[in-house]
Amino acid sequence: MKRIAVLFGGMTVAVLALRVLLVPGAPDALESVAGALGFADLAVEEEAWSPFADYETRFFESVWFARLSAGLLGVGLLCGLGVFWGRSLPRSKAG
Amino acid sequence: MHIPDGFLSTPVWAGSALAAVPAVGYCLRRTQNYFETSRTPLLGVMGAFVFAAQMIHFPLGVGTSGHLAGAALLTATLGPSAATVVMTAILVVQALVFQDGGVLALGANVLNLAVVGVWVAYLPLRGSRKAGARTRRAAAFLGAWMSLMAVALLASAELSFSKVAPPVSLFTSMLAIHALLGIAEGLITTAGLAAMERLDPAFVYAGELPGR
Repeated sequence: MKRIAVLFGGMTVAVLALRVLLVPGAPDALESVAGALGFADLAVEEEAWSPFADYETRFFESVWFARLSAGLLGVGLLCGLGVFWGRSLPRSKAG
Repeated sequence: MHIPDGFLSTPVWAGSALAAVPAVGYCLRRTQNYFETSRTPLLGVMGAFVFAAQMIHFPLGVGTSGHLAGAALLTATLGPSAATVVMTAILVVQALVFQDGGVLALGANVLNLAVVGVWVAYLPLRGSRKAGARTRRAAAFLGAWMSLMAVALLASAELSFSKVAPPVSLFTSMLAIHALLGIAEGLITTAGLAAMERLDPAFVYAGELPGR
């Protein structure tokens, strides 16, 4: 179990690094379809009310730091939620 | 695929949310009863991995890009109930912290990806639990592909009911792109599971106790 957790932990770090280096590319599938069928404009254009909107932290001028810190925040939040939830599960169903 | 606010009509996003809440609640309760606690370290790790992987867009070569949805990967490693809850947590964090996917459309996104996406992926995975490695990998590929197609089908239906575009064009475009994306999803899922099986052959596909 530990080895699998380490594998995916390592892959998460690698994916985060990739995210920092990659330039956002073409629109995703739904955006493409919305553009082609003419309903893309219906999407509500909200101001960035979150300091982490679009996976970039507003506090940093460097795009790399902005992306890395936002990615780390998301990863940390989901790890934390997983640990918190895992601790609340009953301990009687070991597989 | 994260539906933004504005695409869905009020009855559709409200109805989707009404359907998603009890479904996720049921999965949460089921996880409390049936989750193998030896796998609890993976709840956070897999959630974090799928979150990170969803940020990476790869080009599809037809003027569009895609990213791993991760429903099949979560299902194979955590079982469908826990996968539903973890995917819901990912979607909530993405919508509320990173403004990815609409807040009003969150119920629809949860229903599509976390409920339907996960449980459709589970069908071939469950059927292949006692099969050989090749069959299990084929089932993982099929599960990932079917999962993405089901998500695309449901999203197309929600958009059609919201009258944003002619249904035929909508279904055709969405399913065509996601059929292609599903192949990438299947390959990534299968590669991830193959790596896990190499580390621990007994691990994969046993995330939930059978028949409950």
